[in-house]
Amino acid sequence: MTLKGAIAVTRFGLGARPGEIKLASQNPKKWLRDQIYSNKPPVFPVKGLRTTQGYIAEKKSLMDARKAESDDAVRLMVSKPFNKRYIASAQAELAARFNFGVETSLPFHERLTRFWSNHFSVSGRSRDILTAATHEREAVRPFISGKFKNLALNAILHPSMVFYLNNDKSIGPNSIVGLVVRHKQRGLNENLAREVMELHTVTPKSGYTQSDVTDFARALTGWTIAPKRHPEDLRGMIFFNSRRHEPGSRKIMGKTYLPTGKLQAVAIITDLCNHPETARNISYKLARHFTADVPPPSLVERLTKEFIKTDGDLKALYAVLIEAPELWNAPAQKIKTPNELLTSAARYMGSTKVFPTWPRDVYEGFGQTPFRAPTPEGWPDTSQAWIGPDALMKRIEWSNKVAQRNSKVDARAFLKSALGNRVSKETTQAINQAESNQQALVMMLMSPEFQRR
Amino acid sequence: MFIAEPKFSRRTALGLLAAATVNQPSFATGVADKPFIFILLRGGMDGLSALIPQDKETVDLRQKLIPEHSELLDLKNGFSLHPSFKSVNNFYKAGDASFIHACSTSYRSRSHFDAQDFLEVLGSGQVHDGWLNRALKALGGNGLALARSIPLALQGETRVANWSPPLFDEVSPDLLDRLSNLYVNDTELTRSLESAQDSKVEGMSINRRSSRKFTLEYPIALEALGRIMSAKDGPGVGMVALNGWDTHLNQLGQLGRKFQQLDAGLLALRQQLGDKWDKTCIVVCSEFGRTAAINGTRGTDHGTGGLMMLLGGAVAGGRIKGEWPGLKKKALYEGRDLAPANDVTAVLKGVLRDHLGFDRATLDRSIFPNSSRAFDGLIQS
Repeated sequence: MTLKGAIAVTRFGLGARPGEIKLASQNPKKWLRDQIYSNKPPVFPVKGLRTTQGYIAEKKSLMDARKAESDDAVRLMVSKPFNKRYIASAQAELAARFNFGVETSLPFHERLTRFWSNHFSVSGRSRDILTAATHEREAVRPFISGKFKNLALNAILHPSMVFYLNNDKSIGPNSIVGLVVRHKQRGLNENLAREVMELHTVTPKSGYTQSDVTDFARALTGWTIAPKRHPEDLRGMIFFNSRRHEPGSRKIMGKTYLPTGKLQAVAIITDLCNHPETARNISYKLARHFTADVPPPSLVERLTKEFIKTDGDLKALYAVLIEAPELWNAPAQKIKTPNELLTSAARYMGSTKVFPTWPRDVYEGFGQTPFRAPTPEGWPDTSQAWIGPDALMKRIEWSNKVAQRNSKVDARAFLKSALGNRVSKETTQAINQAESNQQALVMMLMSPEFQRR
Repeated sequence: MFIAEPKFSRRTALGLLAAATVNQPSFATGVADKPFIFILLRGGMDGLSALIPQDKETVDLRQKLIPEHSELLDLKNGFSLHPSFKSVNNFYKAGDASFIHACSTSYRSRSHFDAQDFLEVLGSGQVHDGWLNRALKALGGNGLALARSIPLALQGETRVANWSPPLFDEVSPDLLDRLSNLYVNDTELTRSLESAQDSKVEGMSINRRSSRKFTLEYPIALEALGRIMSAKDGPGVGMVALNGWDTHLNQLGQLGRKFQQLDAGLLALRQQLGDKWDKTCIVVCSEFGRTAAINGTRGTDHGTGGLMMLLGGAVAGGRIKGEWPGLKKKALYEGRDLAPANDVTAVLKGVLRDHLGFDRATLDRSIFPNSSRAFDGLIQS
């Protein structure tokens, strides 16, 4: 086992499964490259899960069933079977995602998938958590190794995102529908346009103005979710309704876009993706994810150049990361997010062992329930956000409980398997001096090198 | 919890908060001397059950939701407090509580989440952070959320501390000592652990058995809030959000218990604040009220006008304030809800102006953009 093997598995990957560091140590960079250049992308098991269309149809049936009843007591009754199915689906979605992270033999690929899922964050309260889960699966997962603009177009123009950021409610004031419903005070909704510019692509650093946002919002009008009147195979899919689309040319950041209907927004998103500030934004976020809260400027610079040179080829960016000396030398830095911590522990111990109570309660106790990020910005990707005093105590209490429940898991073997040559003298000492294997396990789980990556 | 300053002195009275205070000694505005607490009841609290109008309309609309007449706490002004509010009634009699019925923001669509977001932001087109955070920024004071994560009202530029009860059993001091040794070369983990331990010294731990599933039970949450805020160097502004007020079903029994818990919590908070109570203002409110009439499941549905309670020694209390639109059929909003006769933002604006000393320009420009007047006479002059 080598130090580089350990770094490949713990920093680039999701934490070591038994034997994984040994495997990666043979040729750490190749082990990573193979995950990206392999022609066989990992298959996410969808058994028991539904598509975005399926979840949207289910929600629509619930709403229709409730609407049909005027009596509250009856309405409550008809909701019951729906609620049961919702809870089962939500549990299945959370479990499928967690277990995939625990079991995958391509953990670098999965870490990148989760990075992008968080970049194009969709989040839902109650029932809408389901379409947030399908967004990751349908709109992010298949596209993380192509061009950034292709990923962006798929992630932005997806029913889940369009719903989450209210574009399904946005109507061009001078569109056919807009002219009819004007009196109902429905009109333009800028939410999606603003977040695409501010978060997904160019950021405010590019100097866009309110009128750029508004004009982009006009271009996006019409992009919605196919309603019930459509044939079943289209219903709930992304759909361009030209009757809602604001007619006319658009002017965004100095460039004019002719009235090309559905292609207008596509052209704008594509240009936003090609903007140098997008290259910088993506490069900064990627570098920060793999190094530290304040990433080395040299790495950000190299990624930015590569992004511009390759027209946003994501594989090329991953190759820069794999070759970056900044990622191979530094000691463990980033504090794992709660989900990263749980995943890395489960990759050695097994999924069920890391949840001493209902997974949902553990996620909520740690403040990170998947698909429920607090804002369109996604989960914070800084150490500081995750390791304040209150959060640290929660981790200690969790480690203590996990160790109590699994006191037979050999702490020394765990340490060696999970961290390889990344273990510090202090941690080895703390484990050797522990008064019981159970206490040693807490030391292992709470050690700086296991809390960080 | 976030820490504003890297410097840390280990043996402060309350490390958790001191960490956020260390380099901010400038309580020029005197916030710390005038505690302000915002209690948000999530789910739409039925104000008409808390402060019950003694009129024919109320009986007609919701007789089965009204507790036994003999148990009601008569305020002798046409309203009674729910029998569970024994301590609140005592505050009222002592002049430390006032109530405003029929309060609402300008949000009207009856969605919990949207209404809560609206109430917590109270912004305008470009303002999306929490109003309490904007207020803290202008004050330069410290804020605390009794929560696992910072509620929207406290989210924004100003860093705010948070605290919540344990996730699982508390761990032994020996284990913490061992971890502290283990973190000898890790300044970040050391700082967090020390802060956590120091705050524990102050007795902020909560008996796990008394809190189910790390839900903050009201008395515990409010007692903890009072304890932290009354400590030396404690924060001047606190917030806690209490869930579970969405009473569509069997409301009478549910609210009886909930009000009792809230009342017990408010008493515990008052006791923890000690002398500081005299200078404290607590605002209790919910995202909206509920329907005037009982529904088909002995509950009520999402409504509009709700109840605000102002508590604390700083409050000009012993009175009911604001407009009372009544429950006559014609007065109901959309024929179903207590009408929105008083503006939540105006009340908050009045409290911030008269309690925390904000000037008009700051309030209008930075804290409540798009708001109109401030409600007068809420705070003792």
